[in-house]
Amino acid sequence: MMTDQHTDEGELIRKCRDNDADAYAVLVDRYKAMAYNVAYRMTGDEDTAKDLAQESFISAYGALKQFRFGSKFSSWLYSIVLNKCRDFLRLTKDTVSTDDIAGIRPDKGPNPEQAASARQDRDLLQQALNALSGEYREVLIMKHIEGLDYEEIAGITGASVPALKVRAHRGREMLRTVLEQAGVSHG
Amino acid sequence: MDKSREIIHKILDGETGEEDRKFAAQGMESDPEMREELTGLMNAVRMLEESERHEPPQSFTADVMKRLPSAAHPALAGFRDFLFGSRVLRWNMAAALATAVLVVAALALSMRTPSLIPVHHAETTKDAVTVRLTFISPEARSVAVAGDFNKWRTDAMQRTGGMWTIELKLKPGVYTYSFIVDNTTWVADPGAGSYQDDGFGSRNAVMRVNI
Repeated sequence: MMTDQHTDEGELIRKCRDNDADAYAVLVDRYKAMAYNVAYRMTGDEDTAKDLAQESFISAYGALKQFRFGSKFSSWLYSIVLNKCRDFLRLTKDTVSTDDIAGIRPDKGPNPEQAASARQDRDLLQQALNALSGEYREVLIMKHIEGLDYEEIAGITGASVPALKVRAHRGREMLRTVLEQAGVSHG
Repeated sequence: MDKSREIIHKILDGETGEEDRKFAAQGMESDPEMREELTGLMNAVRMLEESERHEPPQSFTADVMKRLPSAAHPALAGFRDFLFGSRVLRWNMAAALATAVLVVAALALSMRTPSLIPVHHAETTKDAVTVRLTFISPEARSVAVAGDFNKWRTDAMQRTGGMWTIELKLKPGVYTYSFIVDNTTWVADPGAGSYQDDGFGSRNAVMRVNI
């Protein structure tokens, strides 16, 4: 059954295909936070995330004729954003060594300033993600940050559900190792 | 430990049954290595799930709209507005009378001279070709087709045994399309002569229609 949002979205997309720029502005507004956050988590850089997310919307506008009605616009957009991020990472080969991350927090003992520690953990998380190769980073972001199920991620990435589960499994193990090396305590 | 690790990841995927949960609880009690591993993994996943969502800058939407192709060509937009935009025409009596005279003269002339614009009646069917698409899938519950020719809306195909068919009346041209099986799975026609990457990890079949 189609939801109101889906019906509304289908109508917006039809208007966009008829060159109604205002309708596209509504779609950009609706999904900009999602696109930007995924691009940020994939690249770890705000300016790059903004560029990639904006380029994704521009590409999507040019390719709207290929959008398949009945599928979710968000899934389609996710696939475009991930492709942009993959291209970017392929060009920059953006990974940092786990030694660099371990060096971020030299003092592994308890920190009395809890707020500062939480902030530092957030930065550590991004740097730990940056240490993983793109395919692991991608599945962890889609599964645990965006909260998608494996079937939807499979539709977006083109990978099979069993392959995605293996990637998530290995990615979590790697992330745990990197975070522990950086001194992030349990609990 | 392999079974424990498998169960740990099932827990993190939210796919555990009652038995698995019992096994994990017992393992946590008795096996320090498993406890250590599960705690470390849960911590990593919790950090992901609770991570701060980064917000795009205020000008994000406006910047995108400025960079769209139509916005980059204001002259074209102006021309389009001139052709299709709404406008108010102001008339006075002299102009209205002059226009009425011209319209009446044009109508009278057109009734006396043969039309120069070709009108197709029966020919229109000759300009279109009936194309039958077939797809074999005995296990499918429904198959539909979507493509350039129907603006990517889905048209249901008819079942005959394990074969699904649809007849389309198409004008000459090149069309891309895909089949949709059970309303969920998009399949490029395996019988197509060529395919086109859609740029987003999938491909569509390509069909060339000639008279």
